Amino acid sequence: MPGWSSLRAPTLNGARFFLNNIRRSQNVHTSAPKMGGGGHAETMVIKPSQYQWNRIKDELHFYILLGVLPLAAFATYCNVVYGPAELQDIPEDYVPMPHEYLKNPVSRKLVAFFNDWLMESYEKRYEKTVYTVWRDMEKQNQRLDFWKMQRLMGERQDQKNFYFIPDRSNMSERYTREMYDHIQKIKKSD
Amino acid sequence: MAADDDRPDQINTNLLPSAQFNKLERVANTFRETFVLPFRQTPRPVYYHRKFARVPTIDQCDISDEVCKYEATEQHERDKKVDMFKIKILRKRLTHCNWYWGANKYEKCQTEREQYQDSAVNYHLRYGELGRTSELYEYYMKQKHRMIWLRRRQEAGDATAAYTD
Repeated sequence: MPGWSSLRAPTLNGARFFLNNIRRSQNVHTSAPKMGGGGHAETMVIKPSQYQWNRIKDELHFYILLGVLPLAAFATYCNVVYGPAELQDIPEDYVPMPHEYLKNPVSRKLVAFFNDWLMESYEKRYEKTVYTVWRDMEKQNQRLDFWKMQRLMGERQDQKNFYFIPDRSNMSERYTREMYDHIQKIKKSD
Repeated sequence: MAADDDRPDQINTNLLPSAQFNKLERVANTFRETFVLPFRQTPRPVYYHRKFARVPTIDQCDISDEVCKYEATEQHERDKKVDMFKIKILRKRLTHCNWYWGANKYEKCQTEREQYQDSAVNYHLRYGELGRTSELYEYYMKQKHRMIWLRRRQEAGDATAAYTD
């Protein structure tokens, strides 16, 4: 609190400077760089910045004309011309398209347009997850078999030359068969 | 019931009676009839509800069959949501009845109240007190523990303790 009184002089100086510049903001002649032809040179007007206000106008213009108006036009078109959908029972032997499960006309149009390109259907997503569950289950079962085999080989010590080729990648049946034949060929040539 | 019975009504029961009837709806309806309905295409779009086939439940799955368990969990979540919506509809009926009758609600809304309370109790018996991140086997074990508890009470002499679905 004793420090506030020491700010009195600087604030007075600042206020004086500010007020002087406002009073003279109309006609202040600068030095040479702004001299043009014809006798009346450009004046440099000292005034507060208009940057934020100009930028606000610019961004509002951008977002409204390119965002709000096109999307509002699209939404009004969909709702006025098509309207919300009506609920009915699925007819016999008919599999509806993914966009026929939706009520809102805007989302219907978007899903129908981007059907397999950007948006995948519920059934496709479901089958994909079921496949990953099955695949991870198979991998884990293979690991368990491998560890069981190793454990039994260590306990019983009765197998001499049996080695289990672990299938740790997405190898197909054909590849494993070819590898087996290759090893058989090597054994025969020995 | 109408197809959209689970959605809230347009009338807000907290507004004054004069504000509920027709003023804004008349303006909106005239706007709709003049500017929207004449431009509608006649083959109206149609939407369907998704049909899910029944799959084996958790008690019919092998202990190491992950695919069966996954499908059973999906089915269980759907059934739980269906039960939630049923209770919502019954609760909405009760609140509408209460609002309508006002001071007479304790005499006039007995059936709605009984239906709602019975269904809430049954929902709690089946799905309650388990938490949001519970897995399917926890609901299965809850059913098992409930059957054991009821059987023990029955053996101890309580005749009303019978297991019902």
